[in-house]
Amino acid sequence: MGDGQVSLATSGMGGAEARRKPGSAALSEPSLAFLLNAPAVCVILLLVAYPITYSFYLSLHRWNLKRPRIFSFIWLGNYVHILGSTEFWAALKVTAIFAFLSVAGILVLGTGMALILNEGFRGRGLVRSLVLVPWAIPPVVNGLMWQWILNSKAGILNGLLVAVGAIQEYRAWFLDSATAILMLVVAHVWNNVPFAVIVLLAALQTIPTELYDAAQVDRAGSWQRFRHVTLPWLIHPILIIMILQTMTAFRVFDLVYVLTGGGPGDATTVIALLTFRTAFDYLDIGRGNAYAYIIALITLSLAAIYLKALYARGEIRV
Amino acid sequence: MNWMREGITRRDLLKVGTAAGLGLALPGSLWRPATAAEKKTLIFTGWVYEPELVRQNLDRFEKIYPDYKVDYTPTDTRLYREKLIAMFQAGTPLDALYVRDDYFSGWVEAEYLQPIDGMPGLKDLDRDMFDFNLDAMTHKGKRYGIPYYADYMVFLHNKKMLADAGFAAPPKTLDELRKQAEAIKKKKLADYPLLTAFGTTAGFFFDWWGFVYGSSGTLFDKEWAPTFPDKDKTAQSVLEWLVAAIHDWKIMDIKIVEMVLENVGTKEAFAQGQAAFVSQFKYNTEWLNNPKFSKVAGQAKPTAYPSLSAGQKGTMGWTRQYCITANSKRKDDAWKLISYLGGKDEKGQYYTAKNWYLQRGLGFAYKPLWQDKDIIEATNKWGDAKVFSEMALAAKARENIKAPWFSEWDSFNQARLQEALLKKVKPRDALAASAKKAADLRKEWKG
Repeated sequence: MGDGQVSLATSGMGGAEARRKPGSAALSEPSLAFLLNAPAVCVILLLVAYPITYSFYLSLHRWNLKRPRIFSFIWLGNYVHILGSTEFWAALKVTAIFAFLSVAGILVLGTGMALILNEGFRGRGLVRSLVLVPWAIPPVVNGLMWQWILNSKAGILNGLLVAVGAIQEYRAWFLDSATAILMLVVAHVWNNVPFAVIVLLAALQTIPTELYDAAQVDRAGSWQRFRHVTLPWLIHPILIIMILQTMTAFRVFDLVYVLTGGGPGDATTVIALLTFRTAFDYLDIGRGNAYAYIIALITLSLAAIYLKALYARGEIRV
Repeated sequence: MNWMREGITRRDLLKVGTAAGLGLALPGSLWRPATAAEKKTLIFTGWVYEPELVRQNLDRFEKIYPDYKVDYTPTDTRLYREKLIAMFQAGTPLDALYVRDDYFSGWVEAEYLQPIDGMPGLKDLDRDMFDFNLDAMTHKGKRYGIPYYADYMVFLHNKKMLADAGFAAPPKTLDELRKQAEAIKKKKLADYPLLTAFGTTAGFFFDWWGFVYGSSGTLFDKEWAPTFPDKDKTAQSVLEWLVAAIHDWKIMDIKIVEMVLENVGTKEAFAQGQAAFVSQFKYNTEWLNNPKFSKVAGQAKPTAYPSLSAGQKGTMGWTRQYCITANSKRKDDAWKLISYLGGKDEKGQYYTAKNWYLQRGLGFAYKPLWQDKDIIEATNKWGDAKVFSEMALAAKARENIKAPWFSEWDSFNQARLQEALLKKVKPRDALAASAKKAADLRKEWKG
């Protein structure tokens, strides 16, 4: 048996080449990779790239389904109209407040819960499982659930607060702008905090115990250990949580739609609700798509700012 | 024979099998009755309201017209409009459906619906209808729908509570309403005697329209230009009265700003005996007087809306209709279905309209039904046929309901009214802002 025969017998690729019909063109490895990925790429182009491009195309047109025959290219007319409207800036302000409070709440609560669940105690496994439950609840269901909890006539929150003497009579939580937003934040944080807990808990378990031992030798207190050992290790997951939760908060819709409908007045009208109303209530598809793009641009910009601010300081290496 | 010599090949077997199958099938089809597969199938949808009763009506249709089969799928009420728009845009097959008046003209303009002018029997039905119902189903001179049901807002009082407070008759003016409500509150019969619903709900806020129209007021003229707050001062006076009712006289709870009309709303609160007065859909009068659901059964009595001055009258009415989709290829068949559901049956009777009324109190658009013995008898068990028939004549649709900008203005208007009710802005400023929005939208849409 010659050398050539040995290589054919031991190499899969050689085997394939040996079986190739005479005269057929050989595919290079990159070409083969492209060929094999082509179906997936086609699906992505069809289901992701095409709708995104088409949506942008529509956002440059005047197209309201109440007058479907009027379909005209108006450049950035929809964007100019939106940026010039008071409704948009009011909704942006509400969304920003909601996003800030939600992300802060999720981070603080998530970190606290993750630190507790990282400690050893009886029933830890059960508690860890239970913490995940709110995350499994879809936002619409979450909204309906909180609608009952916060009901001004029969809500359990009112019942509880009256029982412990915190309030004298049942309150309507959605009449005042501040409490309405606060209640939306509470409902949103409750639904989303498990995600933060999972990510942070996973990060906490990667911190080498030697670092805490060294800190104790240096007589570092619990706050100093958290500040100088734990927190630096959590910066990366915190960044991920901040980016994802800011995006989620900026796109919040279901919860607001179900709980307040944007009221009282415009007090809880967020941008996504305005987008929904524009597209499906007013049937203004052109302007609705422009709203969607504005939300996308805002979340993208915020993500870029987070990345730049935190990565540029050199606190993170990826 | 060749096959005996060579044996049966797979091709021979297929040939023989096909011939045998055809031979059996063809003669059979000459005498067999129509099977489900051969029936004309009509695809029909509507929002979820008593789907079992809808199915019963459709079963009766299929029995009367055995050549038809109706494929009925109820669609989620809350997202009905959005889901249907998605279906229209995607070209999902659909022949007939429910349409509400607040998006009817938009759907006609969007070319989702097809006109029904000239269909057999339409003119006879039109002759029997109340004017505002007929107008609600007409767009730019063309007819599109047949009424599923038509109703209006009514003002109800708890007769026993009024009697306990020493009142023999319900209030006719807003001033009388205030006096009665204050007396009821003083006697601690109810914390807040008047119930209205001003929670944000797209396309609703019917109580607002009911009170304004109840005082013979207008909000828009025929060209959809706002008549409030200056040209017609009714809206401002009504809003000022409502604000005072909450903040000064305390006869109405501030929580009305987050309350809706039904489904854990004012209907249920009134049924629990929590108030003496409520503004409600007329069809809920039956529910409120049904001891299975209501603690005030037998005591919930309808009247016209109390008005700013004596003698003024009116209410807000609406029309829900059956329409044929533009992409239906079976217009004649779809007409047969919707004219049965919303018009007359094979015996020339308004069967389904009457059935809905007798079963669930849903109103009708046909004047002759107010002469029907069964309807009068049934109505007087839980309502007042005389009051209802008078109110039907005084009812009118929202003047700007067909404006392409109605939804955008309505959403803005709801927010401003809520701010006024919460005393964040003055009633006049809220109405002025709303009127300006209407004027701006009118300008943008050129009408």
